[in-house]
Amino acid sequence: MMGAGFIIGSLIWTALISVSTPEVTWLVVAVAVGFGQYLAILLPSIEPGQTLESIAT
Amino acid sequence: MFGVIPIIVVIVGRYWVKESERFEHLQSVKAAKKAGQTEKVEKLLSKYDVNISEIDKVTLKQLFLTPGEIRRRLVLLTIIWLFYGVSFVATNIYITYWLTQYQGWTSSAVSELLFVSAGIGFFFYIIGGALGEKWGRKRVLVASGILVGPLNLLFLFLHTPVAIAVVYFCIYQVTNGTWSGTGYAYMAECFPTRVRGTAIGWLGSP
Repeated sequence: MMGAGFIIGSLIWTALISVSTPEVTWLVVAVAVGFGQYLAILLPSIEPGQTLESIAT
Repeated sequence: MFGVIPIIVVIVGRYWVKESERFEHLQSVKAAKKAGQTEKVEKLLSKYDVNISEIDKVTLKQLFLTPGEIRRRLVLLTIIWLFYGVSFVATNIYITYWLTQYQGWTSSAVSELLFVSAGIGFFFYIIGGALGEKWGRKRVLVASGILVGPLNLLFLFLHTPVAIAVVYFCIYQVTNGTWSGTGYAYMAECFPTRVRGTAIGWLGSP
């Protein structure tokens, strides 16, 4: 998915940098999309010290 | 030569890499179940638990077509890693363009900044991994992910070289070291052995 992110990000960056300003491009690609990583809050907590089988079977 | 030699070393090195104990255990469970050896299956499950009702399905079906916690984790991690990959383009790929064209830095100054960030960043992978062992992977992932947006926003308004260098150093560490150092371990722990390879392949590939 990181590779797909690179492709999508490059497409968005290339499109925005040609039709808008560098500031807008940075705001969209680096800032707005960067806030998407807040979704990590929704990930399940996996406490340290467990065996793999107690986490998921 | 710099491209070919490492590849040859990897090919040769893989000769000594063994299958994991859990993978071989899973293969034994599958074989015993297929052969109808119920007692052997139960004995194997007493060592490592496996969801017997799922192991006969194709792994892609187990991952994508079976509703439940495993699919939820896969979808959520897919979306998060897409966000990560897209924002990474700005902060780690087009950063040279940004600093030279927009901030007026020289190419050599950008190279120095990236060299220092990556060099010291080596330790942030270890720090991220170690903190994940102590506090749990999710906490380190969330802390890193939460910092990305605000740091990138702050970076936009900076114009003095020292401030840019300091904030970019921090951006580099949360988008590389602490995020990756714990993120890939977290991925592996999210999925059972029966689908782990396919799940990690999906999340790690284009």
